[in-house]
Amino acid sequence: MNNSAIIEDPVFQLNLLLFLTWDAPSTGDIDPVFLRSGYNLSFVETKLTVPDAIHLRLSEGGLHIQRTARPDIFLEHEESHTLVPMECKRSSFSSTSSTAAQARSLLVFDGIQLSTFVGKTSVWESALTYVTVTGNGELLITTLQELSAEIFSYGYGTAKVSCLEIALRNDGVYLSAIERGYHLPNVNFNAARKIINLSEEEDPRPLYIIPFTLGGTHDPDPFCEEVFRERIRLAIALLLGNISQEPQEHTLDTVMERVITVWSMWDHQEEKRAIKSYVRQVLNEVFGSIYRQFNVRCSIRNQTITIPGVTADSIETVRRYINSVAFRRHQIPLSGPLQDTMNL
Amino acid sequence: MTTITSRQELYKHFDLYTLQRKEELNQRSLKRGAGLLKTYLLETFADALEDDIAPIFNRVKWGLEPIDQGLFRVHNLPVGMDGYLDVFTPRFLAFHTTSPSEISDSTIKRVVKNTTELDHVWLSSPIMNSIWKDIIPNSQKYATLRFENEPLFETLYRNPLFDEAPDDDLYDNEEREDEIPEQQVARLEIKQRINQLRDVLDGENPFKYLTGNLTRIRVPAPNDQGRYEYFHYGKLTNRGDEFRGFASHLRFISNQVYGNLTRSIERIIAVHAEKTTLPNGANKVVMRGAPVTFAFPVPLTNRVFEGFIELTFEKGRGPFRLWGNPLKLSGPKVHVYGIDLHLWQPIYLDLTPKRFIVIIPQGTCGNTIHRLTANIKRFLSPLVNVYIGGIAYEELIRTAMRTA
Repeated sequence: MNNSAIIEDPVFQLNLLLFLTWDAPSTGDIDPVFLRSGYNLSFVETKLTVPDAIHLRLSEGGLHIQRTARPDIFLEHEESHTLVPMECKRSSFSSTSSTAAQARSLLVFDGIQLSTFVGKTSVWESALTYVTVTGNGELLITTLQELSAEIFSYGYGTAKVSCLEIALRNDGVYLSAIERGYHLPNVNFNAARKIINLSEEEDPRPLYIIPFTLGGTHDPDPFCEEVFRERIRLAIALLLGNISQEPQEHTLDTVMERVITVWSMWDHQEEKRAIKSYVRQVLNEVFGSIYRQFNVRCSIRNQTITIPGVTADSIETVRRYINSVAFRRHQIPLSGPLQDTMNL
Repeated sequence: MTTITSRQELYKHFDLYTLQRKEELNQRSLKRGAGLLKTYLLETFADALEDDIAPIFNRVKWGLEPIDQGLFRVHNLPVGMDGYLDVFTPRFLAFHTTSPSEISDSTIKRVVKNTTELDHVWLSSPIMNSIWKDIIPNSQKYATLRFENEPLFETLYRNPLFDEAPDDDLYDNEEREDEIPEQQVARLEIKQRINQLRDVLDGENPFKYLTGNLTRIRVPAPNDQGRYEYFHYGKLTNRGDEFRGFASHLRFISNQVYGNLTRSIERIIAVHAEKTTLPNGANKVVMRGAPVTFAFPVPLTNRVFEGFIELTFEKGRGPFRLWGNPLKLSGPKVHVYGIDLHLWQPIYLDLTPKRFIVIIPQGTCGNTIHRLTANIKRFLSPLVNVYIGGIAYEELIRTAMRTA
């Protein structure tokens, strides 16, 4: 994937936004613009459930609207009392596309609805912000304004809509706002603002704290798969590397949280089951290898992983295996089996 | 061996022992190997309990005989070595010995290497700097500072010693740290009055590269009687005239200065998803944490950068003891979702020749940052600047000193 295609990937966009909310040195390569402008990261991939009355009324009127929505991240600006759900998009979409149903479910969260939902005791402004790649923002704002007008015609308020475009230049990654959209308080994106400083030809990707977004497991960027593979390998290495003289039990979910940091928040059970089943398969394969080579019998039954207590010599042996080139380069095939599993 | 039945007796015994050595030092009659009293500061882990201590050492075949609350006589040490383990807190321990350094240094290094539950208290160069600059009251006294650089990756990564082991030798990587030839170490030692050292080193110092990595200091003891010598791997040698003041100083350095600093680093950087429930019953997750940045004022050369990646991650060798499969991106840029092998805890790294960005997931000990700082300064760039989130590491150290 070339560098300009990378910035289209919603997983890149999500991880980029995360870094923009974490503190960093003023002389560093990343400008955490949201943090410095007074925005705090509030939620990641939190589910918003559309109020029943609104969902019923719009559906009856023939508008497609999802029952729930899950903005990628959610910022809060205390000083201006503004809530900012942010959604990452590869490209724009039209008001008649299937993506419009998701957008409607985000738009209906005006200040009153969103403040109530997140438990604020006063009404905050709601500024729904789409993040996309440069060249898509104008059409996106047009679509969002059309959808807002539709909802308004049913007598409901909507969030203010804002759109930020990501652009890649020779010296870095830039963020700019679409003029016609709502302007987020206390931060100026009128002129393109450099948020990551890059050397020539440097890959713009930050560390992927979240290698997949929910739903992003379908048709994933091969790099996300690679990170996913590394995270599985890491989770197994930590599990086995911390083997001790006392027996241990771990739940499969604790291993999954090492692989996908926001695992506990995902509520798409079918998708979670499929990914778990895949990781379980990889674990069994490695456990089999450990048993054949070192006679150490680790097992996984139902949701519980059992690691036996072993001698000090066996601890060393297992750790050396984990540290060996053979394990570090052990193939964890994702493209075939994982894709099949995830596309259930 | 003297019969010791309480901490009070041990400290009294060490008081006398220290005074005798000090008199020998004064008379210049201290024989080589006579054994000054020295203490190795060790760290377990953040939520360690007192009951965890004995099993940790049992696993490395040390026998701990309790002689007082949190005080143990250590058995099964190498022949000719004696020692006591003093549990300051379950997280910070002090191993006191009068044995010669030739034996005790290697013993302690081996114990730390052989357990994931122990690490040295890493007195990185910025911490050492703060100790001699900020807490020594009498600036008219002399201090001795030793600086060391070891440009390992400029020359060694193509050394046959580090070539990949053949398949049948995959597991035989014991003692790999010891494979680094000592002659690569560049040293500079300065002895001068403290106020003059401050003037020279804080001003327009033309030798910043040479004086960027402080690894050893010998400074006046707080009571001005004799000196304490600090080593970057948490060893302190008592060249003073009493032990009780030394023990009190050890507690100050480990529990308060180092402890405060490490805890404040952990609070800032530990990346984790914090799950809470909203009033309406829905769940929310907040991602907390911040990256640590190691910024190189002069970018690493490609040769050094590639050498570091190759030796550390591809060959799984070298002094950093990090594990991971390097994902190479254009730039050059390398991502590693890896493990800190000292503690077998996770660490994520985004590496370019200009800077290293490090993410420490929650649960990984903050002392990883002190150790990385010490190693990066020694092996990659003595001029590296370290930032914990947006705060300079030195600033956090000063705060820890002030609040200690």
